[in-house]
This record gives sequence, structure tokens and C-alpha cells, in this order.
Amino acid sequence: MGKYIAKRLLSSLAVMAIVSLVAFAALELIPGNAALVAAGTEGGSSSVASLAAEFGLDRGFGERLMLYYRNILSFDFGTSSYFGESVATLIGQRLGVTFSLAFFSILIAFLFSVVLGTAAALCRNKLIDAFSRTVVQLFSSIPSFWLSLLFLIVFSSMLHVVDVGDYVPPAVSISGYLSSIVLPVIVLAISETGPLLRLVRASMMRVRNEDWYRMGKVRGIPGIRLATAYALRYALPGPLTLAGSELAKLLGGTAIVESIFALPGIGRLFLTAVEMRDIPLVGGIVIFVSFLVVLMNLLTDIALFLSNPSMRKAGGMKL
Amino acid sequence: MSELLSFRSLYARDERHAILAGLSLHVNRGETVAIVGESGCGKTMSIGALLSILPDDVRITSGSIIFDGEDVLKYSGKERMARLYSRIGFVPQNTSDSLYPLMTVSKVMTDAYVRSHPDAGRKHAAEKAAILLSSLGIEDAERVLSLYPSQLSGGMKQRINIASALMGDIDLLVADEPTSALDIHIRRQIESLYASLSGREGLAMLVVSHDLGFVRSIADRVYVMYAGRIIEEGLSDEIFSDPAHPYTKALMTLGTMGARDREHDLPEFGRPSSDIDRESPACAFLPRCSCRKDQCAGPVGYACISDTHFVRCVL
Repeated sequence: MGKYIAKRLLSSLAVMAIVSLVAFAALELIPGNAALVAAGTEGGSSSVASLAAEFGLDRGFGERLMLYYRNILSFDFGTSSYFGESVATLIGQRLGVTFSLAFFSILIAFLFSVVLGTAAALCRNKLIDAFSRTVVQLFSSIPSFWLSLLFLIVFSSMLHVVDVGDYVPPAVSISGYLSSIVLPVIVLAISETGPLLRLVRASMMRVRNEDWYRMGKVRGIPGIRLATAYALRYALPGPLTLAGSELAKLLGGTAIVESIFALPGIGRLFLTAVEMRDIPLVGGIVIFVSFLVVLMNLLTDIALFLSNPSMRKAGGMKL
Repeated sequence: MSELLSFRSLYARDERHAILAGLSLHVNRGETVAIVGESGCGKTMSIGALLSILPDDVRITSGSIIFDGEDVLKYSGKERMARLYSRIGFVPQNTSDSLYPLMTVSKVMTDAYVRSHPDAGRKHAAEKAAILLSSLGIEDAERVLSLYPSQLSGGMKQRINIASALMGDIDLLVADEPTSALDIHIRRQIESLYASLSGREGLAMLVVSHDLGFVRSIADRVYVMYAGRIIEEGLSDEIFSDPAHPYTKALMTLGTMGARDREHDLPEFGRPSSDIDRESPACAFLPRCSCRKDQCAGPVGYACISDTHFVRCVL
């Protein structure tokens, strides 16, 4: 097992190194630099030069690249030119909001998809199956910005069920926290449900044709047990992988929903950074989010590895 | 000998074709019965009808399947298997994928048993499984029980499937092509295993196979199936020494020639025609038969050759 995880870890590190190199190169290639932005329109060439020296922009490409990697390894993504604060601090402050949105929306979408997808596959061509197919079509075709606005109008303006605009951290009030994230979580969960539900249903359909599934029926194993302890366990790796990568994607992809619901998350921070040409912040967020994606994929792979006995055996783990 | 299982005029069809066309056969208690015939004649479908594992588009249109005096078709699939699990064991054709890959052999073998015997407990069931494996010639049963199916050889998987089927103290063992897809060495072992099972007190066997050598070595009686119905039945010796139907004769020629591959063909007759009307009262073998007569196109009944030997042919 250790060998598998070590191998997987090494390949993840290689991916991270390449991703950060690409991010560095991209930021190098775009016109302008952090010193120009920080100096602003009033700054003369001398202040730009001194800022460039401060940011290390006057050094050679190779030297800057080494410095960049050294800073990343010590979690130092530099200082935001717009906010004047450390990029790591800015990301840290907003991570909780974005993580809450991504985690809860994937959790809800996953549970809903597993229950409905399993029922649909086991009752193929019955009412529940038709319902699940309708849900897939409907949820996949609703744009999340439109649904966000609709939810805002209905639940906040008309019904006054939830307050929007004031994010409450869970440390302050759990109910306030839940109330501030419930609408965006539902919006994101709906857009994630389409592909997950489709995959759960398709995976479970395939399981129905497996010989061991048929034999389970012949051997008199009760339907519920066969569906959960056997079929679902066998069919879940695909949907779990998708949920893992979708979660990672959401960590950097909730900008629109965060903006509409005025939540201080990473997505909104990123939009601000781009708008303000805050290059260190843009670079920091890009690196951070891509590392999260790699990390989530690594965790998903390890979880799948541990849940598969034949892989575990092959990896030499004692059971 | 009293009758344990009987198919009575069973008809089944999918959306386009008839699959079983008045299938009738029976198995007595303690008796080993074999159904032989080419691929596609309906052998596996007849087992599917009994065990409620027919493909989704196949339905039974009429007839009955009587097991121990009761028509099992009146129960839905789930209820039927819950009732029959402790009475009928099944060894499928593809044994390599029929063991759940994410559970140990012990769990696979005992899971159904503990559910149908709530008082037994998993420990008792595991002991029973170990004894069964030992009785089937597996020496290190405890170790095998702790393995996962992916760690077993083909022959071992076959034996685990047989042992799983025997967990429920059954009256009838149904085996679908038990010797196909095995190499010659393992085939010998599995054949002798079935031979020893066929002598077991109170255990009847219904074996579907195109492996005539194997059938001859274990079967008391043999049914020859063609196009969804039985065209000849008799004691094993009668069928093998004195086949009456032209189709059976051709099969026997193949058998003695040693042709044992699965997708075999009858050289004298070419491939079976897929567009024949299986439900027609005429002889379905007519288009391929070299001894056909005018009467073959009319209704064909069963002719009695001896008390135990019948053939559906005008001869």
C-alpha cells in the first residue's frame, strides 16, 4: 500500500511542479507587471524601478523562477498589490466560505444522486426512472446565475426566509452560518446533480448485468442488501471520483454564485484580483486552487484504493 | 422415484421470437438429468425460467414449473428465490465473474446462508463452508475462505460456486455448462466432482451441457432439446447407444468424434435457421434433416420406443 501511495504522491508533486511552472510562465507573458500596477498612474519611472527591485522583478528569469519555487514551498505567495496584505492570508480568510459552499453542495448532490440513481436503475423504465431522467435534463440545463437570481428574488425579497449579503462564520452563529450559505449551496448542488445522477444511474445499470448480481438474486440475498452492500459498493468508485474532482473544481469555480450572494469567498477574491490587475494575488490563487485540485484527486485515489480489496492485496497491505 | 421438478408445456418468448415452445421435462428425487443441444436451443433459458433470471425482454406466456408439488411460477422472482434458495442450488455457466469481487470467499459463501438461516450465525456458517470445501477436495479450506475471488484460479472458482450452491442443504443442483471454458486438467477434476455429487443421497441434479462425454458419465436420463422443445428423451444408455432422432444421431456422431468446443456446428446440416417458427406443430428440424418425409411438415407427435425412450419424429 505504501508503495502505491508513494507513487501517487510523487506523480502529484510532479503535476504541481508543472502547473506552477505554467502559471509562472503565463504571468510572465502577460503585459505589465506587479511593480507597474503597484506604482499606479501617478508613479514615475523611479518608483516603478524601486518597486520592481522590491518585488525582485529586476532579477533574471532563472533566479526569479527559483525564488518563486522557494516561496511556494514556504507557502509565501507574495503580497497583494491591491489589498496590501499577504496573498496567503487573503486566501486563508476566504477559504472557509468557498470550502463550505463546495463541500456541502457536493455532499447534497452526491447523496441525492446515489439515492435517486440507485432507485432509478433498479426500477428501470418505471415512474421513478422517468423522474430521474427528467431531473438530469432539467438540472443540467438550468444556468446557475439565473437560478441564483430566482432564489434571491423568491426566498430573500419575497418570502424573507433567509438573509442574503451578510456572511456569518460558523464560530459566530451556526444558524446564521447555515442561513447565509443555504441558497448558494442549493444552487451549486442542483448544477452538480445532473452529471452525478446520470453516472450513478449508468453505473448501477451496468451492475445489473453482472453475473454476481444475478447470482446474488438466485442465492436469495434480499433486494435491499443486494442493492446496497453489493451493487452500490461496486458501482460507487466512478461517481466518487467524479464527486472528488467536481469538489476540487468548485473550490475555484464558485465566483459567479459568490458574487451574486455577496459571499466573501475565493472566487470573488479572484474576480477582484483580475479586475484590479493584482498579479501576485491572481498567481497565488491560481497556484493554490490547482494544488487543491491535485490534492483532492490524490485523496480520491487513495480512498478508492483503500476501498478495493484486490488492489489493496496487490499493494501488499495486510488485511 | 417421486417427481421433484417438472416443466409442463412451458412457452416463453421475447419481443420477436418464441424461445421455449412447449418445453416438458421432469427430474425425479435423487436423479441426475441432463439437457443437451446446440447453443441457442433454449437450454439456458429453461433454467432461467425456473430461477427467475430470464433476460428483461423474455416472458413466460404459458405453462407451469412444478417444484415439489407446487407451481413456482405463481411467485414473483424475489419471493420465488427466497422460497427456493434452501431447496435449489445453481452453478452458473460463467463461474469466473459470478463471485462478488469485493468480499472474501467466506463472506460470499455465507452471506445468503445466514440470511435464510437467521439462527445459524456467521461463525457456524463459516464452519459449514469450510467443511463443504474440504468435502469438495480443497485441502487448505481456511486459507481459501480468507481469499478474494480475484486471487482464485478458474477451477477453484468453479468449486467455490458448487460449494456455495450446496450451502443451503438443497434437493436439486442446477448446473449450466459446468465443464465449458475449463482447461482439460481442471475439466477432469470438475467432472469427477460432479460424478461424486451425482451419487449423493437425496440430491437430484439438472445439468445443461453440450459436452456429451461429461453428460454420458454422470446422467441417469438425457433430454435432447431443439428449437425450444424436447425432441428426444431416454435413459442415458438409450440416447447414447440407440439415438432415434436424426438430430440426436448427428449430435452423437459429433460426440464420438470428440468435438467438444462450445460453438460447434453439425456438419451434415449447416447452421440452425433462426427464422424457423418454433411454435409450429411441424418438426422444427425439417429444413436441416436429411431423412425428411412429407409427414414432417404436418403435426408431429411423440413416438414411444420403450417405456423410457421417446422421440418427436415421424421416423
